[in-house]
This record gives sequence, structure tokens and C-alpha cells, in this order.
Amino acid sequence: MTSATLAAATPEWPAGTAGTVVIVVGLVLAAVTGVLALLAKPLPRWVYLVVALLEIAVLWMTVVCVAAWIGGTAPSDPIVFLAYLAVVLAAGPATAWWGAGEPGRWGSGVVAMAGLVVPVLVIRLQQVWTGATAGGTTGA
Amino acid sequence: MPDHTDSADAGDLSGIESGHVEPTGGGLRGGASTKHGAGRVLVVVYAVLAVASVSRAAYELLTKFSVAPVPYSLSAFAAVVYCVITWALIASTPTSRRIATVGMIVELVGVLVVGTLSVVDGSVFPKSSVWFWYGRDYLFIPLLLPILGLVFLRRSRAEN
Repeated sequence: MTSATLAAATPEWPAGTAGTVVIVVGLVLAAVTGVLALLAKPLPRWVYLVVALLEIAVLWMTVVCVAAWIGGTAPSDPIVFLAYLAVVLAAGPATAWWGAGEPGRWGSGVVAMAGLVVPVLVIRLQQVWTGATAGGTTGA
Repeated sequence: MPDHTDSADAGDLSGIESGHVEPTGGGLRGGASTKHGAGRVLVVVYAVLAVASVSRAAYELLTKFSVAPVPYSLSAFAAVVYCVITWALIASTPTSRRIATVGMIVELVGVLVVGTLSVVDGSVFPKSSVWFWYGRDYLFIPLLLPILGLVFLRRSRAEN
């Protein structure tokens, strides 16, 4: 069957479940903090719990990816993959810290950005892993 | 914590208590500071774009530079511009504000020129630059961001 040759050509994305959870939690965080920003509300304490939840999901996804990498399926574009993974790992804690330093609505806006950026980058991580990158020529 | 950069940014009173009270200094609600208010969100987006473009440029330069030197050099140039703007917004001094303004204008011109060229004739800039097709690979953020950035810089200056 062609599935075997296909699998060889495009490494399978190992973190389907974890990645989906990260995307969902990220979007929830973006929605919640986005509304707070629109209402000109500063960051409430409980938002940090959502950020922590996001970070746990991101760590889970990272472990799955690293395990798969050690297991032999490397991402087709390691440099970009590691850079994006670093951003995804840092996004929650970094914006929580950066947003905490801002009293007004923009403190919430900063965390909302993380909630938007993380899902986008998870999709990019998947593309970079499987080789379906925007660079186009990676498969060559 | 956030204020390791310089003494001028101890809070929203930046510019008032520090020496460099320029036309841009000291908005009441931190308006003149480029790392407060909406500028704080800009910093996040620029930082993400900086990492994305640097990693892309590094990948291109390290693995396939000889294939297409011009667009890949352009990717590296774009990456440098994003890094400079990110730094300038965080530094948040009158000088860095000017640097950020120049950087955003360079970015806007770059994305418009490269974007237009890539739309008109795909062979000039193959699908390889951050600015290809007005930054389509990056959800057109490279096109929108300098516009929002310049609006923010203009508004925050006018708040004085």
C-alpha cells in the first residue's frame, strides 16, 4: 500500500491529542482575556490558573514530541521546530509576567496574545514536523 | 522583574522623573512609553515575529543559502528588523522610539515591495521570505503590524 511510503515521506505528528488540548486551552485563554481587555479590566488572579493549565498542556505536548524524536521520528525542520517550541513553552509564563506589569486593559491584552499565538504555533509545529511547511521546499 | 532595563521606566511616570524629557516624554497614563499600554501587546507580537523570522532565516541560511541567496538574505534582513523593533519598544527611550519608527517604516516598505513583487512575478521572490505575498505565511501580520505600530507610536506621542 502507499500508506507505508507516505508514512516514510511525511513523519507523523505525534502530539495530536496533546496539541489539540493546547489549542483548546489557548483559545479559551484568548477568549477570556480578550473579553477582559475589551471591558478594560486588568488581569484577575484566576487567569494565572488558566495560564498554568495551558503550560501543563504545553509540557505534555513537549514530552510527547521529545519522546517521539528520541524514538526515531525527527521533525523535518529541527531548527524552526525548536524555535517555535521554545516560543510555545515560554508564551504563557512570559506574557503572564509581562502582563502582570501592566495595570490596565493591556495587561489582559498581552495574555490574550499568548492565547492566540500558542494555537497558531501549535499548528505550525505540526506543519514543521511533518514537512508541510510554508517554506515549501523542505521536502526537496 | 520588568524594570531591569533602565531607570527611566520605573512606572508610568517615565520621562518625568528621568532626565530625558523630550517632546515624547512623560504621558500621564504612560502614553509616551512604548512598553506600556498597547505597546506592551506590540512587544509580544514583535517578539514572536522576531523569533519566527530568525529561526526561518537561520534554517534557510544554514541549509540552502546557495539555492536562492537574495530572498534568503532578505529573510535575514527582515529578521534583524524585527529584532531591532522588539528591542526598541522594550527600551522605551526617546531615541529607541525613533529607532522603532524607522524600523516599522522599513518593515512596511519591505513588506509592500516584496509582497507586490511576489504577487506580480512569483519567480522574483520564490516562496521563501517572511514578506512573501504580504506575509501570507504569517497570517498577513507582517503587513498589519507596522501599520498598527506606527499608529500606536503616533497616538502615544500625541497623548502628551
